[in-house]
Amino acid sequence: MKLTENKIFKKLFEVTSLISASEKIIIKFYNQDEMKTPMHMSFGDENCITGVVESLRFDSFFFGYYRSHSLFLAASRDPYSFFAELLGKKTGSNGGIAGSMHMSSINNGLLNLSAIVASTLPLSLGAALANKTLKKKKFTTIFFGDGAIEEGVFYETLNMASLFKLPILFVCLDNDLAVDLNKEARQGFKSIKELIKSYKCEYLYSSNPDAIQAYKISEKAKDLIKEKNSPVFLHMKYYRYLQHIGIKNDFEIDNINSFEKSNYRSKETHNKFLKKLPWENTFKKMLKIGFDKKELYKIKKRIEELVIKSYQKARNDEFNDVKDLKKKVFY
Amino acid sequence: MSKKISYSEAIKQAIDEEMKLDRSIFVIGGETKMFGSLNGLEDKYGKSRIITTPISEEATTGLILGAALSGMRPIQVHIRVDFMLLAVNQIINMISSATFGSNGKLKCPLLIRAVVGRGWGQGYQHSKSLHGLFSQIPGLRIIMPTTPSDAKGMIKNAIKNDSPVISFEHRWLYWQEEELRKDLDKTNYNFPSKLNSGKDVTIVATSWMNVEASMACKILKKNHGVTVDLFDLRSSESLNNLNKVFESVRRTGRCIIADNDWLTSGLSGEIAFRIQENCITSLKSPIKRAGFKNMPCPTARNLENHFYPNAFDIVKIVENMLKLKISSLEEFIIYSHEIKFKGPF
Repeated sequence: MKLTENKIFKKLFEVTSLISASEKIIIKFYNQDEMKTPMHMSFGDENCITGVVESLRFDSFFFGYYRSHSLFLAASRDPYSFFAELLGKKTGSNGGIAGSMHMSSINNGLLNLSAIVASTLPLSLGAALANKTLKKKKFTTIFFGDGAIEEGVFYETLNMASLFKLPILFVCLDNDLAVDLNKEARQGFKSIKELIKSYKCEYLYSSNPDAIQAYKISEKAKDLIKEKNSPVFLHMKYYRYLQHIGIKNDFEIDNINSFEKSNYRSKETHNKFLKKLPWENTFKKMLKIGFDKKELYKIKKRIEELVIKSYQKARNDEFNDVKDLKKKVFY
Repeated sequence: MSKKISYSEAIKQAIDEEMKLDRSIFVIGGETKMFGSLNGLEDKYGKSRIITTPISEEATTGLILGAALSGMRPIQVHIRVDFMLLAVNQIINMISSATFGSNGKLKCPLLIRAVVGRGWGQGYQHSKSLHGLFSQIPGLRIIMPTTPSDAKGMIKNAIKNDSPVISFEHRWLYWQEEELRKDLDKTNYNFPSKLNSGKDVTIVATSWMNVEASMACKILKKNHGVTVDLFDLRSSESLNNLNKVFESVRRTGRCIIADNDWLTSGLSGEIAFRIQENCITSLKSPIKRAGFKNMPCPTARNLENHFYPNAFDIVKIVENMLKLKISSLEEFIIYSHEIKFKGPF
């Protein structure tokens, strides 16, 4: 293991720990009704997103969607402004204006998230054009769920990215579900792979990666973009542990306060995935490549303390002043 | 020697002058002719700055948003407003809230130009105006230049603005000519402009309806000796700066809104509301409106004539309002662009 690699892997472990600990805090306190914002929990996608963001941290713009927590935390590494935003405080990443679904971390290149399926996809085209013209960053990375593939603008975007040979990494976070509908109930095409292959766009695949695998495939994607002078579609399968929106899983949904069905997945599969949680996958990988168990637990503990402190600090912060709001409508 | 230039040429000059100064400006759209308002720019700046896209309105509007957030100043063009409707998700859900959602931190400097179609049977999907619909959305600035001078000044300002602007350009205006005013850089386009001065009635008009209202002013003066204060609203920002209009209505006690759009739940109602709110005790009669009939735009000539309001309609409203004798309009001819335009688009 090279020294620089060591540093990167350690950072990957820290970030997955940060995401995992933050999601646990939300689950613990959400019912206190202080974080009044609809949340699409990230529990499950933390390895995929951490790996990709670390790989592109210094040379990409990022766009994403409403399942935002992993992406925001991976880009910003800042649990304090994260919780402040969820709590609607002035100190939040977006001053309490955006909430869970639209957070951004401009200094880290995370420019825009949208609550509307597929809506940020075409923004990647413009950022990629800007990259070329202004010679700023080299890549644009856009995260979206597999449900976005059934939206029309997905095809418009993929077509233009392929036609104009734009350096875009399309990261499809595929959990087989769009809200509570599985792919058999909504996809009239043969496979995502065949679909993408019919465009002038490279295709890469990864299934339930640990953070290091996710990082490595993202590095490969970067090389492919440069080598082939084309966009790359990185298809990442993962298991979504919780319901579409909210902190329960589909076996706990009461059908009174939720628009989702309950029990839309098999309990057997769910139990299988509970035995291989993403954070643990990364943890085991770290041990396998030679990291010290005690050191890793120490990191985990430090981060858990940081997360709870951040949450508590944000709780005591002030709300944004309404008199400043109007000034923010236009730049 | 006359230095008159057309509205189309004025817009071209505006874009050319700004593109020369700022490499971050580019033009993009499925059809980049725009009635001559981009003539020669592709040869001058190349295909990388005058970009022709597939017919993918939503993705292209998303593209300009992504570009604007990343430091560019894009201009998107739609040869008809109706085509822009495919990108309404990007405009209303994404663009209008991009700066606000970032807690005011991100600039969103983009301009969308859209042509309002009319005439030679454009029909109900090539002729919408819709500036009223978009002016309802916080975070969007709407402009509707009527004169070549305003077109040049307002397009230049829109390009330099750090917030999203949509320009609604009536196709019949592209051939209107005038000598450009000297004060284009010093004009504040967030106020209505006064196109005619009078003492009997106040008219507030938008886009092409300024042309109709201007003709109505001439007819009213000739037939009745009635004089009109005519204001061109020209931008949605002007709604917050109507003091000159209020002063005029307080003086005349009469007001008509002539909007190049549907009336129901539209911009004309908004203007009328603000006028009554500020001038209620001065009004001698109810505010009246002229606008599109409440139906989709039909194709055949006689039906289309029924749909659009014109100078005669305004004259009749004034005659009723002032209880004047209905005068003969036979000697006057309503302008139709079809005198020189014979299709197809």
